[in-house]
Amino acid sequence: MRKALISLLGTSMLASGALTSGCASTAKGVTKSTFVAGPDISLTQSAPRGTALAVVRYPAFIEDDAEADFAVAYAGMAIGGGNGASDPVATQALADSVILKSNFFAMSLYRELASRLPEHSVLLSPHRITKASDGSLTSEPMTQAESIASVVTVDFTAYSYPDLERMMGGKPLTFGDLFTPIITVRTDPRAAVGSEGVLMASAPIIGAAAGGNYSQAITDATTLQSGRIEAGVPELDILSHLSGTPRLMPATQGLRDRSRGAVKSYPIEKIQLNGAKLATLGEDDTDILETPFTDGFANQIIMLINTTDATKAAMLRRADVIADYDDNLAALTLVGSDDPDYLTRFRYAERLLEAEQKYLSVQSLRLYDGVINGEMGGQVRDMLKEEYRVLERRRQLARQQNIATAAAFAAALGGVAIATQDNNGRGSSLGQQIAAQAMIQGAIFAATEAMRKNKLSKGVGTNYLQSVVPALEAQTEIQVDLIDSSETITAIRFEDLKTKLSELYSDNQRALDTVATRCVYKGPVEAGTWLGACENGVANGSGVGIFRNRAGDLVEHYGYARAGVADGPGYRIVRAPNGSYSIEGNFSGGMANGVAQVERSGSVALRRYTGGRDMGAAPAGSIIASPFAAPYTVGDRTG
Amino acid sequence: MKQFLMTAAALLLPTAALADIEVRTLTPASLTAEQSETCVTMMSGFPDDSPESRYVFFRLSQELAKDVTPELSQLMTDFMIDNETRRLPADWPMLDVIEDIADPVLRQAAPTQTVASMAHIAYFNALCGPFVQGQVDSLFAFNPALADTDIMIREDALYLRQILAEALDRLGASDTMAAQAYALSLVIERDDIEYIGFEDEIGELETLYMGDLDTKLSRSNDAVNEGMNVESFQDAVALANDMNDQAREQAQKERLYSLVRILGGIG
Repeated sequence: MRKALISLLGTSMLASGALTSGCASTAKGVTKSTFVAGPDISLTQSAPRGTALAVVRYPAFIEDDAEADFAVAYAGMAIGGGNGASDPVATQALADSVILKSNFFAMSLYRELASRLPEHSVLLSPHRITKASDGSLTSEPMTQAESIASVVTVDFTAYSYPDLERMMGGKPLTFGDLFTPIITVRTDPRAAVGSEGVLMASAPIIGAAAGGNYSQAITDATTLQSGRIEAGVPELDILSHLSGTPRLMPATQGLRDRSRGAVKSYPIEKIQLNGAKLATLGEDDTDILETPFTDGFANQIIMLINTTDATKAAMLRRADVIADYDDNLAALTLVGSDDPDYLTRFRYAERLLEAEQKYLSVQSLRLYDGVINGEMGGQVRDMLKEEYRVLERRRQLARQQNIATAAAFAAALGGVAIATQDNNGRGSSLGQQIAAQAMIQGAIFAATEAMRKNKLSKGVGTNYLQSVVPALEAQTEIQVDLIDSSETITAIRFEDLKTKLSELYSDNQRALDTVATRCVYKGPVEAGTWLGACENGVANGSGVGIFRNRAGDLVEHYGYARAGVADGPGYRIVRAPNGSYSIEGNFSGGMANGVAQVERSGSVALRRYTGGRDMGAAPAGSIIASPFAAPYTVGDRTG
Repeated sequence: MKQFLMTAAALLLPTAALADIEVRTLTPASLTAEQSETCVTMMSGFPDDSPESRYVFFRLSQELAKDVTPELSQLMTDFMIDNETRRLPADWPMLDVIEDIADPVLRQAAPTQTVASMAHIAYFNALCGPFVQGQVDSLFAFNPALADTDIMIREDALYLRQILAEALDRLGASDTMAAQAYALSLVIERDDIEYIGFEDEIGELETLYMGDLDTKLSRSNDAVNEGMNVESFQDAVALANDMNDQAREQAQKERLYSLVRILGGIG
């Protein structure tokens, strides 16, 4: 009976030890990012004047009324699997720390890009997380950095899994020396139609990023249809992910693949920074993210810039800004013209965009300076050092817990072995019974020790985050003060500058023979809208047409028209519900005619068209007519 | 005597040679000794009272000859022959040549004289371009600030070039392709000059606004950072440490209690 009791006790101890403690992880990360830092890749792309090459966007602040919803969404849509709901205070603290660290680490990326790309070509765009009019979570830019065109934008979030209890596991984390970036690199949805403008993204948010871009593209096209040129600013992709924006899944590829029309998928990685460097982090220290992450990531971004069609990426937003100064010119700039009056006027307009770009870049430089070089940066560095100490303590406790767990297993196994060594049914000797009991008691002690270490380990992190909440809030407020103050000062003077630029522009302009207006584009089903050169109330010349095709999809046609329909080189984008596609080539009578380049999700191919019908593949190397290649005169069939 | 010979040699150059010279790529080394001497003589008539005035005249002569194509040279030569207008002597002072072009009476009364004057400048540049460029480069190296006057020189040159275009028009050449191309080049030049003016004004605005913004943002950063409570984070860390210590003590007590229960017997 006694043997059975000991045996039962030993077995239950084993099970209890295994189930409650197990072997604790020591929270490690990879020392090298997938973005292997190599020789610097040179920029080979030149952006149109007044166009930034990259804008770094990041979550900088949560509005009070969005805070609770954000925490719920953050826990409910945890990246790394499962529902991350845990202690609400800790979750809130982690949510705040994601914002604060995104603010801080985004500066590292900005610094790297700004040092490698031409002056004024990299801008910072902090975003405010807020509630949209329909109550859903969204984000909006806090500065005017995104009012000018850019070849790519980079969404950057320093992510932490919302459940602190699982901090020591394999969950993605930005805490102490661990860093998990969630990123998206995208271009304008008109420049990479097959992937909805998404060029590269962290795997879990590809669908949300593509869905968000698609939705923005539809909004922009609808606005064009109403006669206004406006390129909207999409929310941060992490917000599209959290708010459940309808997903759209374009084709994906690996980081080293080079096919067009697909999104490069970046796996979630937890990068372990140099601990020794982190422990002594100071103002003059080299950037701790540079070697393990930003150096290689910047190379990827530059590669993506080099392979992106900058003209298509910038055309709508540039036209949007030009419309502020010259409504008659704006739509003509989409594909351009060789009319001398147009060229003269356009040169002046481009110079205004350049002035805006330079001005806004000063703001970005000062935001960087305010965050990194002031008290704010010092506090975040102190926080990272403290987090590293906390994490190291937890790792130490986890190692001790593992030792105690192993001891509990060994002792329990020993006790069970002694108690059951007589398998002939005879009773154990007194000595054996005492030894077995001692082993079992040892197992209980070791298991208790393991559980204590486990509890202490979790406590160390929880206590730290709970107590640091007010400090986090204080730091976030300072961050917001920096951005708000910067934006207030910038905006007041920016408006003033724009007025002065506008006056200067008006004083120097000559008349245009052809002005951009709004008229009818003869769609196949119903009348659409044409913004550009018109004659007798219908499209005639260069511009953009918006209409619905027979399937009911919204179509944007950039190029030339004659007598109300597409004629000459054109770039047509069809926003189909299951994914957009584009056709670039020659058009006549409103339909594709000749060799065209067709981009769909996952493929870019040369096809032959006759009267709008796809007649099959075109020979490789066929030359396509592009409205962006050279100015075309309507009616000139050689164009 | 030598001076006379050189002038005579220049005068003896066939008038059609201007068009021929224009299309050749000349370097000082490719000139004959005679041509070189002609250039030296012509340049000796340039102002020499200061580097500034020399720079202005060399640059002005360059600008005045701009966009004179072989076709336009031929056109000017034809007008000179038709109107029996002789080429100006090679040693004719450049100052006088320019004053003649700008002279309102001559402009009205003798458009062929304007053509001859401009042809003289074009001829000089076609023949002596490398020497002129050498002089401009040397003066610029001596004082780069001399280039600050470039835009004014271009404006003056444009004014004088427009006089040539008017003269050609009055002589009935406006429908020739050469004259039309020249008129278009004047429009482009005018656009460029105006754009440079616009660029300068925008540059001033940029300097003013960007400098002002930078200063204000820098001050604002300092003010915001100074307002930061630098102790709040240290307080938070101290609190976390206290909580950890308490947790450790509590865990210690719980462990002792468990041990007592285990070792003292259950129940």
